[in-house]
Amino acid sequence: MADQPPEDLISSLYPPPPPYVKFFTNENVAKVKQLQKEGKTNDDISELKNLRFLVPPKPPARVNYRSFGDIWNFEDKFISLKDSGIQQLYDNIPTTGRAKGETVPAAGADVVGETVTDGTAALKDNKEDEDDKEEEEEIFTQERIDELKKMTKSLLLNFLELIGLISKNPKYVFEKIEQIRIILINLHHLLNSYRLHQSRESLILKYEEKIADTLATIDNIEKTCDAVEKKIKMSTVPDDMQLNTNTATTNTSAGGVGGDNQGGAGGSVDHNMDMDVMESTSMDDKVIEELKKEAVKNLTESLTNQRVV
Amino acid sequence: MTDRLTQLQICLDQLMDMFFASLTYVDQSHDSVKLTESDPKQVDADHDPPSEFDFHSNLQELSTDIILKTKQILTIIDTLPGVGVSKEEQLKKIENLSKELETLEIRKKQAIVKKEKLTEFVNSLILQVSQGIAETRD
Repeated sequence: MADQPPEDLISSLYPPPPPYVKFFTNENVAKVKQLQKEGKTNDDISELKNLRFLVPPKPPARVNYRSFGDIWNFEDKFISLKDSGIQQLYDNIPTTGRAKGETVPAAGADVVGETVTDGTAALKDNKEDEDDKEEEEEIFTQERIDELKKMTKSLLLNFLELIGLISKNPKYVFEKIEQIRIILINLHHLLNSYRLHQSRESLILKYEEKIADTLATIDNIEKTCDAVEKKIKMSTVPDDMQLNTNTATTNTSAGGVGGDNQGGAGGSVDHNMDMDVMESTSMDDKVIEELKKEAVKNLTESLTNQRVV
Repeated sequence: MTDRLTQLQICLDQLMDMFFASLTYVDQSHDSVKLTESDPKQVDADHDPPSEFDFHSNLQELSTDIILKTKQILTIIDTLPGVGVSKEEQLKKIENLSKELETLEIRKKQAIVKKEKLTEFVNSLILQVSQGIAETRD
């Protein structure tokens, strides 16, 4: 296997394993373990011959890496709009003191230019607010919802303005498109910052669903059990054996599994139906034993009687 | 069924598509217009614009669609779950729910055990009955 020359490998198949696999012999692995036991650091081991590849490589020291033409961070973190160089259109902290209409849309003659239509630009110069804001993206309040709505509406307005611009003064179209882009990025950013919140919310929903489910299952099982027990007792219990008579939970329609389990016996013992219904939970083993005997006796009798008749 | 947020973002994308589609429609289907009254109307043989009535009704339709989509987005925004609930409240609720679920699971197990006992009992009952019948038969 190892002595096969590498030229023979067909390159269109799966790529061959990396060449350093041949260092992972049992012997070497044992040696590394031994050395590690002896208290050698990974650095020491990696300097030894043949053992260099058996030590896991160090994590890269840089903050980001490049893949598919993009730069990615090693650590997942929340990138604020400021970091990505996009103007933020909404307030970071939805404090109650802030006027609602302040953010979007603001009269934007300075942004769009003096020649354009009388449309308002949704962009706001909010540089002065940014200093006193904390990084708190978790809370999602009614103000945030309002911001979302405002931005959606200003999106529509900006589109309208875009159309106006195209027909009247196409020179300023690109600026408008850029503004629409910023609004969109803001919207998506806001929505994405809501994701954490939403995932917790859906977890709660799932829990509630599951609880309702379990409750229904328990309820079903208990109902069926009650029905079966009642059916049995109805057909068997003589007056002297009544315990804890309880008609509150009467459920004379012994349907479902109860009826099925009783099977053929159920039909023939209808004459015992008017007996009192006994509370199911009082069935301990002794009572069950007696019930059983009684039931067998009654059923057998009624069956044989019927047959004779 | 995706979650609300994804739905919302998809809707936004759709809205953008509709913006673009309507612009494209206007761009490609408009009729030529005279700059001054005296100009002859230019007719392009390769271009067959829809009639004015069609054109306007299509524009009407496109804009109605855009408005409807916006309304849909606003509705979805309104129905986003858990507005105004802080993270701590959520976590506490989750904890409570998980405790509740645990106790319920125990109850469920008990119920199942009870059911199995009963089934056993019914089984033996049936067996005894059939046995009794068999014995009395002669």
